[in-house]
Amino acid sequence: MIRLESVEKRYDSQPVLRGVSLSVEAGELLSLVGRSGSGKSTLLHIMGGLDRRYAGKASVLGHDLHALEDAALARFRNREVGFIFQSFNLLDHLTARENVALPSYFADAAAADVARRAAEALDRVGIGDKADARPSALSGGQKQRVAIARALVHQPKLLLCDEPTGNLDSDTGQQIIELFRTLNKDGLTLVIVTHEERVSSVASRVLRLVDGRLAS
Amino acid sequence: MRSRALVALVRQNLSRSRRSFALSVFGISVGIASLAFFLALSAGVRQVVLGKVFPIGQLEVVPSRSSVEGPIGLFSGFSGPKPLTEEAARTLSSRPEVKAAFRRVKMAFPARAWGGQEILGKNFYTELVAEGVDPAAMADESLGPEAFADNLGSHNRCNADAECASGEYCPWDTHACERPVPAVISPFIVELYNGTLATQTGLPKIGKFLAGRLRGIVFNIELGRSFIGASKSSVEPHQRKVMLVGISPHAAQLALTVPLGYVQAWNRQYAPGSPPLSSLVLEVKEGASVTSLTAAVRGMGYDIADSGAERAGLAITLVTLLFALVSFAMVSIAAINIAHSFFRTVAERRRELGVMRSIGASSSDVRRLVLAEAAVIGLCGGVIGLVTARLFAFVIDAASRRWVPDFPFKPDTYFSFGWTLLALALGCSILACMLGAFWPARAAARLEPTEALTS
Repeated sequence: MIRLESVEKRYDSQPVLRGVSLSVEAGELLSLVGRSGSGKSTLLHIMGGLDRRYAGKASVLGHDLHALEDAALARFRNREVGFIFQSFNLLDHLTARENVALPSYFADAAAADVARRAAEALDRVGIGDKADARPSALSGGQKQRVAIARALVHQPKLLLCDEPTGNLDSDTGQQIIELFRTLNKDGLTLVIVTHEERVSSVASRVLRLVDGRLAS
Repeated sequence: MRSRALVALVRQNLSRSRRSFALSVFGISVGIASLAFFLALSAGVRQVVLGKVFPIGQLEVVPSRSSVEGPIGLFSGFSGPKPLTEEAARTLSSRPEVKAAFRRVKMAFPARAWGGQEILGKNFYTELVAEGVDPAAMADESLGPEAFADNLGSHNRCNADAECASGEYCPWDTHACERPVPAVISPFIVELYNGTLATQTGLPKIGKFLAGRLRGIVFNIELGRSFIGASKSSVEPHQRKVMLVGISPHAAQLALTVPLGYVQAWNRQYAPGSPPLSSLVLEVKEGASVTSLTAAVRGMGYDIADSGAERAGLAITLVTLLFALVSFAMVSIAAINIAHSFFRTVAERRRELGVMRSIGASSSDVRRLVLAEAAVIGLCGGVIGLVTARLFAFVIDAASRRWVPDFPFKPDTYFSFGWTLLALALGCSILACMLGAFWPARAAARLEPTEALTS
């Protein structure tokens, strides 16, 4: 599903990733751990096609990400992968339903499909009753569930999560971890960047990044 | 991205920043209001000046004024202005640029006129300056009650008016029944009368009501004698009746206009040897080259009468340009303001744009989104600007009707809001906003998702 070969990345002259090679198979729940600044988020962004300024080869879901044009890359991010961020990245002026529906605006979906898919995704993460609430009226856990619903709305094959429990209390974080485990059991491949051991404990494989290199 | 989705996103974005949206709309609407106002004013004034005061779309060919006259001409072999002949008129009439040609001849002898008691309350006496015009020139006019045609009547012998058919009279010199000579006057004469004579003498002004009543009024003319002098010919002066059949922009500006045949016949009697034609009016086909026609006229040794239209048109164009430049400057300032506002908005929404990119927006989606927001601002600003301009125009017209004294050719409205102007102003508004938002949109589209997300 994911093949990275000798991926290198620098910010200015500072190396962040130093020849990272890895592969992820379909159905895996991979945890990428490491200290702050070790390059975990950068690696996740490269896997998701958010960052194309790197050296080496990244092939995700059969796409050579370097070779994709902007429109094709946007389609890839829209339909084949879902992103979850530590700070949720919901749009404050939109309701939960509108936030979840947002990816469908860029997918040439019919209006009826957009509404149906958004409702289904919200139900799937257990907050169908909060569809009309704005993010400011939601708790941290609810916000993250909305963000997960948004990532799932187009039923992607791969979910990329960047510190998904970083802004949540331990109970809420545990619920989110359970949700990930359920999604993984349903066949979804997940790559979770985290520095929390409890997240890693549910992973089928754990990879550690140290100073831009894979340590194990 | 589908248009429906684009509309939804634009609506969401604009409705959350209403203050900024309103300020941008206000800025552009001021510029567009001013642009539409001045363009409509120029178009309205142009319509009055070039439609009524100095009609355009026609050239009046006259004998060349540059020909050498007097003793120098006599000794140098030149014999004065080259007369406009029937043959020259036919040649010019058949040119491809010409839609229609109308002959004109000036009355070349003294004459006087009196009448008007029925409508003005007392008889009005004047020297008569008359011009014969081809009746075809009035073919499209709605005149009445008599047709504008060479109609010399039944010619039944008579000794008194009662012996003639209805509408005819019996001239004492010919003792043959005749219909009155049909005549038209130009709106210019009416305005001149209203602006000077009526004001100075206390006579009633000719408005729309009186203008209608002028039709059918009969007055007298005396051919071959005026208040100043008499004709050089030995023919006795004769009196005729003239019936006013209408007011027409095709009439001679400062003369009584009668059908061509009358003046030609009278000239033969009272001014033998006078030129057969005074001028030839050429109506130019739409889109035809006036320049080539003018060159052909000059090439044949004739001149184009200066109607003043060219200078008036140039003056209006210059004033329009000046106002349009000021308005464009205002629109440009609004566009710069919009650019500034959008740069700020893009900077503020950097992270949000990054989120959109991460969930599937392409750079062109982002660019379209920013430009569509600008277009909506332009559309709203354009509509508000046009409505404002129309309201200002309405107020000025109403104020003019109420407080500005009558003057020659005073129009009902000074403005002309044609569809072209509306489309131009609206297009200009949308274009200015989109131009203003072009660079911010480009910058937004170029944002790398990862940079935007980590900002």
